[in-house]
Amino acid sequence: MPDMLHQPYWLTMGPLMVIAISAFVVMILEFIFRNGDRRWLTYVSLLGVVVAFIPAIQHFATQMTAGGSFMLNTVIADGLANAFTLLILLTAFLVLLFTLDYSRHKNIASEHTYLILFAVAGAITMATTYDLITLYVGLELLSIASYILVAIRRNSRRGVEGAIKYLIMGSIGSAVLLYGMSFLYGISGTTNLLQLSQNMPTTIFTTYPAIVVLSFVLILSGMGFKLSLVPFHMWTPDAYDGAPSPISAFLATLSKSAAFVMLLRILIFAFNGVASNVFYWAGILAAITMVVGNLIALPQHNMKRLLAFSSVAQAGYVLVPFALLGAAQPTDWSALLSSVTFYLFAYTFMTVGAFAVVSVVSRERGSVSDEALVGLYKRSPWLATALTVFVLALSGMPLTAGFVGKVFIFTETMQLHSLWLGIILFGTSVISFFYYLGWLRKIYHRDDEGVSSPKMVAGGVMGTLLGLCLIGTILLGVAPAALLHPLTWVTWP
Amino acid sequence: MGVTVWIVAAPLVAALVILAVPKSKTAMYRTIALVGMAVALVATFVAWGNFNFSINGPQMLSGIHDWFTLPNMWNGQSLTIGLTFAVDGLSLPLVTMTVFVALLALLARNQARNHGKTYYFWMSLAITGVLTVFTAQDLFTFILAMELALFSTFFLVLLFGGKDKRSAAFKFLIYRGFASVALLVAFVGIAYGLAGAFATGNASPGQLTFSIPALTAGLAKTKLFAGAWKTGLFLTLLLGVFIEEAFVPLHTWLPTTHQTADTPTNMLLGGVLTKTGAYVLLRFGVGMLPTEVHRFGLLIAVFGVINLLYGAFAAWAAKGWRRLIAFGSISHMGLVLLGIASMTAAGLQGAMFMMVSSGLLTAMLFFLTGSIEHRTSSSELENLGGLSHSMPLVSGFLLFGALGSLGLPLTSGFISEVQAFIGGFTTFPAASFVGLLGLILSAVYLLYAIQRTTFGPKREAFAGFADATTLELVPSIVFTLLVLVIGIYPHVVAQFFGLSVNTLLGIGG
Repeated sequence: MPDMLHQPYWLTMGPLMVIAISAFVVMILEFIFRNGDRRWLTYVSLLGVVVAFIPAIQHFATQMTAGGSFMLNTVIADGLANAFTLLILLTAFLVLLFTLDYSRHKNIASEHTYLILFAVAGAITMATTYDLITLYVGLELLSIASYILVAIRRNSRRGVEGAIKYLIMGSIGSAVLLYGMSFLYGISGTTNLLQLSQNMPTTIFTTYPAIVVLSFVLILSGMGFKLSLVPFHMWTPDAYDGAPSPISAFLATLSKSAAFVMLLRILIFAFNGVASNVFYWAGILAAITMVVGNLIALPQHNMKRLLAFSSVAQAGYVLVPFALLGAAQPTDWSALLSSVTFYLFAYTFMTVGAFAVVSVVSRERGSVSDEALVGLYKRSPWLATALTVFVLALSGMPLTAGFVGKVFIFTETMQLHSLWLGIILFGTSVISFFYYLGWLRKIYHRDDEGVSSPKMVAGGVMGTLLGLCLIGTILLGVAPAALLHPLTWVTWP
Repeated sequence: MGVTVWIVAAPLVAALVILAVPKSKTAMYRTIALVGMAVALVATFVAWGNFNFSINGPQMLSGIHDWFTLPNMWNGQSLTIGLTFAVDGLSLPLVTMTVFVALLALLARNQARNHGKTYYFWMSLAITGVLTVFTAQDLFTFILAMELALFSTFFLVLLFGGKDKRSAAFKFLIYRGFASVALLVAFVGIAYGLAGAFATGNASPGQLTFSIPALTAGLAKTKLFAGAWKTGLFLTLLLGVFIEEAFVPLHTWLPTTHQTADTPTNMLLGGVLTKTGAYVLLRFGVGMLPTEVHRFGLLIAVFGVINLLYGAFAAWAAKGWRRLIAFGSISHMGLVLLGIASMTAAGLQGAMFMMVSSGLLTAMLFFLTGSIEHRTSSSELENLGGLSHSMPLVSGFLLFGALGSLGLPLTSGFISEVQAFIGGFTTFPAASFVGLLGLILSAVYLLYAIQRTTFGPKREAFAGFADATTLELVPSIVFTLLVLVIGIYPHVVAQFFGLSVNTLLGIGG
């Protein structure tokens, strides 16, 4: 079927179809082969992700020349969708590598492989559709798979506790989100975001200003649960701590990127014309999230919980451009969307990397307390160096991706006269030095009484994963053009 | 590749080579770092040779002009970020001073017993950072360089400091981290100010650029920059400078860091890193917002005098050499502030002289007290005394360093103080008059400390100490010569500074 590759369906839904098919194939294979070492299933999943890259890159190239395209009144292949599909696939690849290493050392039910693929399918749906119903379906696909993934170690009390909390809070979030969406439907009579975007400025807002604001706040809050923004973040530390490390990394990166793109999609389509009236709510939420997220991380000594709080704070940074959308002219939007995308790419590399090192260290030392890091430099200089780079990147030190991302966002706050957000961004970054560099202090601790554990060896798969994350973190810091340049080809909505 | 790239790249390449070389002896790593600095030194000399005194601005521009581009940052304009380096009359002497201090710091005794690789890696990286600060021609490069110097020094203190190294390192990082934030806000604000983002009324938007020469030239002409924003950004800049320079009451990080860091780190920190703040004030304050410097001149001058006196009193009260030198350098930098605040040719030139002179002398004093401390295991004054009997050469050089530091004629300290005070008296006579007290105090605290260290009765415990080794003698002689050359024939440096002063005042006046 040579023509298949040129079909519009393939062009717009290729990655989604590949991932969904792989998910089902892996699920069936998992049913058939009940015995023995079933880690090869992860390789099949990895293959699926790699194949899905082909249409995704094809999209990216097509969209550069042809602009966005719409399908079936639901599926969209515009710049936002394509850039985030690539990001989601990249994250899926890293997370699957991570689980491959994890399952080598610890017991994890092999169902996780296809659950991750289903979650990825949900995430891609969130990036590539523009109807409230399908967006919600994608979100639930991602969420339900995530609930199970957090609880995948059934015998772990903390895992189940985290999953229950996540389930309850996540469901509340979904309910709030639906409530907000129902207002949009009620006042416009459509769930199609394109129609909403055409009607909003002219008729709807002038007639029902209060309901539009209410629906904005409800949608933002609902997604706030998924993004673990303060004050909707309470489930985060328990879920991250209870879940296996690759799943924590998955929650912190993949499900966050997907939730961000869905939020972007709804906000810029549905609230396009009324941005200046409602988007400042996102600014308030971003400020609270940055301040509280960084402050509550300070006394934390559990490494995974600390990374959980750090991901809360990082989500606050990414939310800053959302707030700026309100103050911006539509011509400035492309820069804001680029900065969100850039930061999420950077964030993915450094967060997955940090979780990976933490996973190795806590496995070898049998503890997730940051005391386990003591003397890491002596036992494994490479792991220590890798974690140093990730931690410096998360705290926004230069020559790493985190710095460029933050400066990009900060420059925009200056451009759009929302300097207070920029100052909070960098001010809270300085607070974050305290806890990130507290780790460095432990890593390079040399008064190693009682530390006589053997050298740590990371292994080939882990080495590949860390290598990829390191390359990403440093490349985007030293030569940001590698990503910024492709992003300029994107035609943003 | 231009000569300025060589200056910056040489230590960076050295750092990378050190990283790549497999486990070997500390001496090997030190040699690599020294080779890097030697290349930088040669490149600096080439820059001296090629310097064109008829160009009033940055020259020998080289590097990557379009490193990356941020799309659509201001009215549809994209923002091109460059990685470019150049020197001008202000930066070349500072670069030269940095190269010398760094080279000699690498020769000094350090605490990297078994970790030469880590040590020389961070050392080379810190040197790269400082050299880049003095040569950067793009705001982004500049910020990058400051942060690079910041966290390299942080690691040097954290890993190789003495007692209380961790708390000192974190204090250092937090203070200077906040300073970086303040400077970043001010820099980006100034860039957008030129572009007209803060214009009042319906002014047409200007060009958004991060290029430092373009900003300097553009801000002299633009009327787009609304006053309140300009003032706010200048005060933010000033706050950053005050922290960077360890000005009272934001100074506490400097003595604690000096107290614990090892000798080469102290030389680099006290000699060079604390001069970056003054450089920022000259380059961005006087260079770009001269009207604001005029407006807040009295405030800056009063702060300068407070620091001059506070530093001197605190140095007098200090019980050990490390704190004494730290507060002495705070006192020096107070004088720099007074000179800059005066906005006169003499004052600015005095401030520039003081930066170089204080850099050399602070580094020299740290070097010599480091040598003494290596033998006596203490730099506390109560544990010292009578050292001239066993170590006449070290004692002699220490005395020379102290005399230079208190501004003896024929040393670089003298020419700096005289010019800064001439400038200060022209504009702020009352404040400068009070500041003169600091000169007397500096003689008191330095000679008092010398007297308790080298003079006095012979001590049995110190009798067997060897005098300066070759590795101690050579740096001491180099420092002495540099201080004397500048003191006796200031034209060597003044020819560069004069050029820069004219440029700065041409805009400011």
